[in-house]
Amino acid sequence: MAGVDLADEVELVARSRRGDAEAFDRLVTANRERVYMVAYHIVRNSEEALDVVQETFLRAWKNLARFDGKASLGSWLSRIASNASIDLVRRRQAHPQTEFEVAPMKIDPASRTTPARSEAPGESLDLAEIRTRFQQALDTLSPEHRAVILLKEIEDLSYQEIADHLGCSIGTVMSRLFYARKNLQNQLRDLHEEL
Amino acid sequence: MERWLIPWLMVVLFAAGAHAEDRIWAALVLGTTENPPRPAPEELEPFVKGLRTVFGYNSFYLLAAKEKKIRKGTEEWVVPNKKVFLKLQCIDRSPGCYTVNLELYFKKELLVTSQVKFARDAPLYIRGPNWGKGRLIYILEVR
Amino acid sequence: MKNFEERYTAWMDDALDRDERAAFERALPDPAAAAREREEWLRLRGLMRQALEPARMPHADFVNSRIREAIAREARPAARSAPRLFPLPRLAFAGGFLVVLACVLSAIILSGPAPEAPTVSEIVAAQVRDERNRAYAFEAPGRAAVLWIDDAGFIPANERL
Repeated sequence: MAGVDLADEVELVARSRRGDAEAFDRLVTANRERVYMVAYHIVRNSEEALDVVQETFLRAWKNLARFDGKASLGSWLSRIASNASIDLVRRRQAHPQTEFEVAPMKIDPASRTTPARSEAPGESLDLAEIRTRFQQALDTLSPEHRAVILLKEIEDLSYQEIADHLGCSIGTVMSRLFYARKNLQNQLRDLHEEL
Repeated sequence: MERWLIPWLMVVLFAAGAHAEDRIWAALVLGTTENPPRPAPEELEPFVKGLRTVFGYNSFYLLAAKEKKIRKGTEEWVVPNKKVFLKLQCIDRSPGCYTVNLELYFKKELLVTSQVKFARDAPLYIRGPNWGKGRLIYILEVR
Repeated sequence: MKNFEERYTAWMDDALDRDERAAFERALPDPAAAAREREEWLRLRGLMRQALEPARMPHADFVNSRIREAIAREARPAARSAPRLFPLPRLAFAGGFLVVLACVLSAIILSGPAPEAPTVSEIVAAQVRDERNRAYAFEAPGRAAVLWIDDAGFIPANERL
């Protein structure tokens, strides 16, 4: 967290509750990366993740009175972000026409009219295709399973940290990891068998 | 519905104008020169002729696209990524025309600021940085 | 750890102590197959870490400004709520309606014909930050406007956006 220790955080929360926007801004700065990380790994889209970040902090501002301090502010914010992200993904799944996004899985890879998301022009075809395969496989997971696998394997968080971010128990994190890993291994068997 | 509401509704609808459904479509495109040229994705077909004429590339990739409501007074960011960042703010609107301030950043440095009056279905192309042998191009269009 | 899935996950992550690991491996129906699965997962994970990047927020300071703006919008006095619907004397209703209608019609008549909506987008102003750079504005086929920046930067081919 960027330069805000627990004592500072308590004071900044108290000032924010009294309407001090500058104090709240410091809390935003200290927690925005963490909130973005949670959102991004669920929604898998930078722009929507930024929207979730804004929504998260706005909800936090309006509901600061409900923050009881039992968990850290970061955990509380992460849980808001996680819920907001999952809601967004479910809305997106329910109404696929409302968002206009390029979805590589809909394009025939052989046609190459659209490169995979964030593929670099000079990148090797192999790595770009591997990335596409992972992204397609991750998109088939539920948002909750996708979040635990990415927070564990890419962000290298501990079980406890993941549980804090997502507002669930360590046991739930570990169970979800079990099923998410099995799922990915089954979908990507040809990838790891080639290695 | 109560009958007395009807005349009020008629006046309100008459005065409201046609702003309600306008949206801005924003896309980040990669233009390249390839042999043979690649067919453009369907979403880019209306722009291919203009893009070819202006930028000279014969192949176009649609990297990302998003459609949002255009609202006076709010800032929006357009298909953000870590290298190039386009920020829009609608500062005025009149029938069929939106005045937008935009800022284009490259690697966190402000490259250009501009004010654009968008007509409906009349796109704006912004020449972005080179990416390898291609070039990033923003397309913005109010629909 | 309560159930098999949790113990299995911990075993995959080397998070069991020596005794727990020994007990878990003894209880496996096919330890060799489980070991192979573990190796496969580790290879796949290595590949995943090469292919995917940690999430990093682009342009974080803009988030702050957007949040400040959203909070300021929330703080503005709420728009007056729609007047409660309660019955008005018919005369007052009719009079009020006629006054409003007269104002709207007068505004239309006095303002003359409505301005035509533009058909081409127009770049009103453009300014580059660096004095050594240049920006140009011109029209293009398809009623398009072009904002052309001479030096818009370069991203190497092997770098991702």
